Amino acid sequence: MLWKNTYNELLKIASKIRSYIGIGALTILVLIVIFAMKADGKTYLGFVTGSFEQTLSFNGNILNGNLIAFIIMQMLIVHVPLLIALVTGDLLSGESATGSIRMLATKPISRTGIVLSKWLAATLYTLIMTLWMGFLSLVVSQWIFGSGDLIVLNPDGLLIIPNSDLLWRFGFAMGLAFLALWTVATLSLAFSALAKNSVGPIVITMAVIILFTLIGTLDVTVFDEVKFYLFTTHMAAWRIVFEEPFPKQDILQSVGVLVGHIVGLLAFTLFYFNRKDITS
Amino acid sequence: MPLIEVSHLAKNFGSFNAVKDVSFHVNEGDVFGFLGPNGAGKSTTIRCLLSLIKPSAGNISFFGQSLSDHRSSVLSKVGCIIEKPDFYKYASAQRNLEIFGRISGKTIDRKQIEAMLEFVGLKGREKDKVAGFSHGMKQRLGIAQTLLHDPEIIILDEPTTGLDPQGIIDVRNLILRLRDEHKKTVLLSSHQLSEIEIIANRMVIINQGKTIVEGDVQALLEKQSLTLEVEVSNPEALHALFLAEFPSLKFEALYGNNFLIEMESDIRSRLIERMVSAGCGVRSMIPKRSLEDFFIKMVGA
Amino acid sequence: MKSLFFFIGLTGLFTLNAQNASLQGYVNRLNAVADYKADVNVKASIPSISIPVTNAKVYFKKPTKFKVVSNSIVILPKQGMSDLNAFFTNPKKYTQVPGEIKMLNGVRTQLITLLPSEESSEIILAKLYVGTAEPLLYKAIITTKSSGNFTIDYTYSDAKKFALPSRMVFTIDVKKFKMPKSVASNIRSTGPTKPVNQEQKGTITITFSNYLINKGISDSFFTKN
Repeated sequence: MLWKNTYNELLKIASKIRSYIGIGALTILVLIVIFAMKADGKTYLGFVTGSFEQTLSFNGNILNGNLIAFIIMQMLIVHVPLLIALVTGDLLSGESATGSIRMLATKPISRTGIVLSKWLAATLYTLIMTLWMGFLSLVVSQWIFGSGDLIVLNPDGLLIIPNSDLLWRFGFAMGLAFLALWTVATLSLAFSALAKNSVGPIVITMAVIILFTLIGTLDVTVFDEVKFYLFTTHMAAWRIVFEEPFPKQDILQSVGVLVGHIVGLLAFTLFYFNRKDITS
Repeated sequence: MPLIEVSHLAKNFGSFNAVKDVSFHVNEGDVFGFLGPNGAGKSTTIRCLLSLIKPSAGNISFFGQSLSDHRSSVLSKVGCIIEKPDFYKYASAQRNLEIFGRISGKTIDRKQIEAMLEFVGLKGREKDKVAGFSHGMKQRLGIAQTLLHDPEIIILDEPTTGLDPQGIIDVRNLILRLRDEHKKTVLLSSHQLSEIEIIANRMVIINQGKTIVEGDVQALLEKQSLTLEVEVSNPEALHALFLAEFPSLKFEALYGNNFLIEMESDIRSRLIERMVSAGCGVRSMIPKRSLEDFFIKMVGA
Repeated sequence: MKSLFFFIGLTGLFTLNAQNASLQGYVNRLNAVADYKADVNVKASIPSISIPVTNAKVYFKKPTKFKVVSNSIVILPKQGMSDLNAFFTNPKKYTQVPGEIKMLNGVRTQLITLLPSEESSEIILAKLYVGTAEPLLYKAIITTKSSGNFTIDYTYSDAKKFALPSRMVFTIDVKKFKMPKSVASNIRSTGPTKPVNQEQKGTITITFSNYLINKGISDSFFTKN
């Protein structure tokens, strides 16, 4: 029954226009970044290499597909959560708003089954969005800008990673980005269980992301204790894959925090939805 | 063994007691009327029956099995419409039935869906999105969804709300067909008392969250006093007759030469005979023992 | 970078006085090179920059054409080199001061200091150590206004009859590198941004091999991407 309803949920996602708004918006965003980089990438590059250019010259294809993919990922980590929440925040609340939840919840599928199937569908949608972002940023960028070593500006300086060392790093980064977006999807699903309209969960999800990001970036000592436990702190964990030496311990910690959030939020959603009276 | 048995059901929403003590049972083959004024707790009770709402107290069993313990197996044998059927508007009628059929607990193939769409008169509209359907069409699709997995029990909560007269007749006929041709057990909640009177064989009336009366529809109606509306050409003779021979009967002038007469036992033949011989000029005599009257009496409206 | 190899190739334009015969000899050898192609191996050790060892091909043609071809990102020194070239090729811009004799890695050299004659010159001071036995430049120490100091150590091998080095070691001043915080900031960082490495010197070692000298390279090659 779980898999049958997961298939149903995927059909519902595939039938909704809003699901394609996310993919379309993502495509446009990526194409805009690619266009901007094509038109004026050297200015951006100036930010990266500017401090060194008086002394050193950087030769080779610096503005390459790998750098564009990195820039796209860096820019979109703020926007893609909204596009994900647009769909996942509607999964339960949308059914409450239209009343179809009554028909769904009177079928011989458990409340746990309903939540899990929606969560699995949300997971697949998030995975598709992540892969689409990866395809656009890596494949399309490489096609337009060619390949080459990646020049990354880390807080402690410039790191140049050879092209041959990049594929697995991008794979790893995509995996971590997916984990971050999966957390957002699970968060919005949790809010979706609480709400009776789909706007609320989407807005609240974004508000939480903004608030937590703000707390995470404020250099105020009172927040230092909590920063590590905020999922937003670890949403950029994908970026540290491009550090040397490879920060295995930090990555494991981020994976732990994000997976912890996913498990916790899913458990809350299951607990709440199982006890919820459907009165809509 | 009753197919549905509800005993001492209660549901509180915080400090508000929506359902205080509701008990009834539905037998196999019943078309069971579930009546009550607005706010009586009908919808809450039906939602408890379908596990949409968790009861605060009491027991619900289907087929002798507790609903809370055997939810999935019970619901696979139940079809329902709660208030109005709300489908996925962005999907077609056929896709909606596929979605609900897939989680109905039974394997539903495309032919069954096509047959059901034909049964409810939606053949030819199966590929249309539900967003473009009228209320009546949605209601018919709702019935198709209810029957798709061939349930043993059908629970319909206000199935005729918002329908035009023809739609109401269609739904009524469909319920009668379900009872007579398909031998289904139907629990029907409705504000259309005349409809219940026509199609239900048993009923329960609840008010303020409590069961007021439960039983066979005709037996309950026959228990109540008989009221007649009488039209005569000689009202003075009628007055004189009642004062002289029937002083215990309730006698009330309505309008013109029309009067209302209420009696505890059925003495219609003797009354007609005396009215004729007293020269009252009887033009018509209509019995007024309806479910509506019974309902109003029961709920004290 | 272009300027660096321009510098190597065009040192022959030096117009030195008769007492600096060794430098003139060096210039004469360089003048014999019309063009060359070589494989280079670049190893950079610069604070704030982490880059693997890279390989590239370099192409040069008189008087100023230079090109680096590589699949990798290659970091080469740039510090003040354009100014240097303009400086060296115009003897009116400086005054030569012959200096001490010094042994560099077992090679006897003479220091020749170039002092700029214009106040606006980017180069404040250039010290060149030229071999006395064989006319080759073994060390150059340059001081500039905006980019500090840098030093070049030369090693020669097969192509020394053309005064083309087999290895050049650049020691550059990196104390003025600043990381742009807005670009470098990492939202993952829960503490203050790490301070920039305070080391002041960085080195870039360029090893040349497989020189192909005076084989002819078309001008159009240098304009192609």
